[in-house]
Amino acid sequence: MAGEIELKGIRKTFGKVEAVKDLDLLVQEAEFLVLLGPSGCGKTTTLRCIAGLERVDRGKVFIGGRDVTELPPAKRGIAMVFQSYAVFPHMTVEKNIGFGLRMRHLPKEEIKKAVREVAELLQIDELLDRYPSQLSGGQRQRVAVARALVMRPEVLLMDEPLSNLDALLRLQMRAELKRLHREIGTTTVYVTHDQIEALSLGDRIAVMREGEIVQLDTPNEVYDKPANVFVGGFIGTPPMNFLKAKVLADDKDVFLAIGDFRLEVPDVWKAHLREMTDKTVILGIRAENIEVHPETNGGRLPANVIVAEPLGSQQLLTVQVGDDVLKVATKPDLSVQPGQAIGLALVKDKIRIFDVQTGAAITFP
Amino acid sequence: MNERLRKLLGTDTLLPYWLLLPTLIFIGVFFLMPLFKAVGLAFYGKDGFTLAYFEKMISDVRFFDALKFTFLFAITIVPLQVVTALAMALLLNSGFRGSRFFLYIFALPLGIADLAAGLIWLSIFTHRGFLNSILYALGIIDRPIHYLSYQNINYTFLSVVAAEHWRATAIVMVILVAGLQMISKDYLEAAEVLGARGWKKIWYVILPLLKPSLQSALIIRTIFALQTFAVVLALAGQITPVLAGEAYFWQFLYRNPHVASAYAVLLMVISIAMTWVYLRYLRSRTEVIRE
Amino acid sequence: MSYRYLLRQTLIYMAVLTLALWVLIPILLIGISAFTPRQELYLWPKSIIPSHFSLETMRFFLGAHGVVRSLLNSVKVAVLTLTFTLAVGAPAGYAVARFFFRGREAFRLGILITRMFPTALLAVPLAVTFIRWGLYDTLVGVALIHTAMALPFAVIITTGIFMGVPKDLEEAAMTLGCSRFGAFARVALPLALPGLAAAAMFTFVISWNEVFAAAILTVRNRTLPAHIITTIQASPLDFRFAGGFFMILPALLFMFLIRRYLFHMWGGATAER
Ligand SMILES: Nc1ncnc2c1ncn2[C@@H]1O[C@H](COP(=O)(O)OP(=O)(O)OP(=O)(O)O)[C@@H](O)[C@H]1O
Ligand SMILES: [Mg+2]
Repeated sequence: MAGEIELKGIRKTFGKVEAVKDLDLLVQEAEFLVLLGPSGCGKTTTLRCIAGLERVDRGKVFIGGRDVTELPPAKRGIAMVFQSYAVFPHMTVEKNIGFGLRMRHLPKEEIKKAVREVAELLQIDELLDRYPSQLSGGQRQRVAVARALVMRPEVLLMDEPLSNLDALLRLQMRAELKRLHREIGTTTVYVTHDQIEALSLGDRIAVMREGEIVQLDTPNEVYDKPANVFVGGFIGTPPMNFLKAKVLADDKDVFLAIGDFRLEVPDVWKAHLREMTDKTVILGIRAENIEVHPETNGGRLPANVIVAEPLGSQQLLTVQVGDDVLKVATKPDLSVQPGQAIGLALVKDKIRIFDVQTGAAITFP
Repeated sequence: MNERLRKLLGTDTLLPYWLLLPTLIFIGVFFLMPLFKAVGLAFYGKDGFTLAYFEKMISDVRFFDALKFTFLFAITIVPLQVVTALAMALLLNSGFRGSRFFLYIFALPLGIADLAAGLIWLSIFTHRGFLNSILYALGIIDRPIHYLSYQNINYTFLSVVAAEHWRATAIVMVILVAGLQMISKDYLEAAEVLGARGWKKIWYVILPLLKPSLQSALIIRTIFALQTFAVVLALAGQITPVLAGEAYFWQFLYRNPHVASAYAVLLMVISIAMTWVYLRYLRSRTEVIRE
Repeated sequence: MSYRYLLRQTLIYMAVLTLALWVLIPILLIGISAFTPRQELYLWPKSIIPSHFSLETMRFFLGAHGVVRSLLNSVKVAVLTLTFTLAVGAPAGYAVARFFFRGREAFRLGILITRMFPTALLAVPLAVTFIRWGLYDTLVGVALIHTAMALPFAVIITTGIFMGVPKDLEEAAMTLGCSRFGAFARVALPLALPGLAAAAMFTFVISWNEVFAAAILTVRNRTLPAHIITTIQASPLDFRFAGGFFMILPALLFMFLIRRYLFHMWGGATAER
């Protein structure tokens, strides 16, 4: 209960821009929740509303069951790690980390001890006497995290904390943040637009778009079962492939037609799908769920290779199917040439279908 | 609470206005109010609206001299300053070793008052001053020349020009250097790649890009050159009267705030006209840049 | 190629040195004049370097009637001016730097206009008003119009200074337990202090140098420039030289100290968006 966050219908506008639109969200205690979405979708604004750095226009914010909507940041029991780190340049690392505790008027020795502990946890205890200008980007980032953790907040908020680090350091810090969360177990809301980061860190991911949460699920669910075309297209490298398909039915069977090709569907769908006969849907399938066969015959979806890109652990093909272009992941050693005709097999259980108008996933119980 | 009201009363909405309030009040009381008061004093006497003070101003024997010299100073000094400052700025921009040091040397006169500048150049132009001493030592003259006298009014004029030129070039230089720094290196490199070097680069690339800065420096200096007062008084006394000086004398010696205000209003009108030109020009430029 | 390069460098240095001498020599000359024995100033032919340096001229200047008093007045007015200016202008600069609010651009434009306006001329109508308010011939009165002159610069420079202190830092302080004001006082203020000091010095110089308004608004409580200009016709040359020298001393010192910030105030003319 202590670290639970609940947002009830919060809205925040800046002039005419609706940054957050009537958003509801419940973050469980000790959960690591990632807010993910494209630039400008309102992630930071949502986070700042939780922190109290923005005043919501409407709605309520609860932290640990307490209504904090009208409270200033200082009284919300939160700590925040900023994208820019916001390490105070005129204070040493030790003073930086101890800043919040000093504001609480704790005894000096206690502060010193707490600072040392958290510094050791983050492996920056050697740097306590330095000024931020004498630190590397990664070290500054650790100071920012330490400064937040030392407060023992009910809730830890992080806004793209890794985005200013180089790729290698980012990988390392990502693992470290995961370790820290496991050890400390503070409820964490983590903003990023990097989907890999989201998939690797989050207990759950809230995918945002234009001020709304479009899907809130575990990483696997979000990846495998995107709630709509947007989520499928946003998450995964390469993003999910989309094809137009038509639902066809005869006396015996129901299937999806892609051009002249008839695609088999999972058996559980069939009864429901029959009701949608003759409707067009969007079919979604991930690159790794498509198998490539050199022969085009035998119930395979015919396709033409446009480009083949070797990517080390796999090979990425760009192929043409009718008017649509698909990305297909294959083994690195499969030999194909541009222009070559191939046959594709779609893994039946991994197919998703979406409504043509709304883009929402069509699911069957 | 109502959403809109809540938004309006949020501290963050009102706080900036509270912070601006002292400045706005101050500008209202000590800037706008005297501005209107000046107009009032210039146009209203005991019996209401009158042009008598302006008539008095214009019929004063020194008025046209003052008008003439004020404009003569402005149109002599401003171009001189812009050319000198441009030379300074371009030299500094060529990036030789020690250019920062010279930048600060060139900027020194920024801190020097016009009165002090007048006194400094008085030590040069006074009849037993440094200029005459040097000319004598070089054997060019054998008796001192009275540069600052009614007999040599051209010399007097040039002395004032020399002093103002020396003092206020620094401001123009600072504006131009700042303008040069804002010119993206990409443009310059692109120009070099396309074969523009040396004078060509300056003429076809740098100067056009520097135009906003030049314009702004030009007009700021024009406005201030029109107020030239203390330099003239320190060097030339009443030999070359100027408008600001007349305002001062009417207020301070003749105790006539109405005529003094008439002079002040005249100067302000000229300045506002210049400001208007400046803003108009600057706006059209930034809009072009934005698009 | 390298020959041409060398020639170019030589020419540049020659030009720069010439200009530097043009700037420096008059300052040097007034210094020499201020320390030349009094009677040598009136000799003909006069040598450029005096037979010996003497404090006689300076002593005469400082001993002259009203000088020390006006000097003190100048310092008082300048200190009052910088206090008023920062107290009034810095919050506005902070607001412009930190907040987006309706009317922000209009305010900035207004400030740019007032910066260019010949504010000193307003001393003429203010003299009449000040008589009524009991501010005529007072140091506070002079400081008020000096504040009106310096205020636009103060707003512009403090805006630049506070823009240089990231908003994040204050917000971080707020999440760590500070109130809004506490965050300002503990984080923004210390980081802005060098810039604010520069703004203060610049304001001091504006006030210290101003002569027109000071002369018009005072009779007995003159500042140094006002004292010099109102007595100039009647004073001997040595008095004037010493006065000129005395006026530029603190100004040159302050300008040197704040040289980095000058671009904020003047360079910004076209940088403002
Ligand atoms: N202070 C502000 N004033 C005006 N508009 C704002 C402000 N802050 C955010 N916005 C607008 O609100 C929307 C959401 O912004 P927000 O910063 O929350 O996006 P984000 O998801 O964090 O994006 P990014 O990944 O780029 O950080 C954007 O359209 C943005 O332009
Ligand atoms: Mg963001």
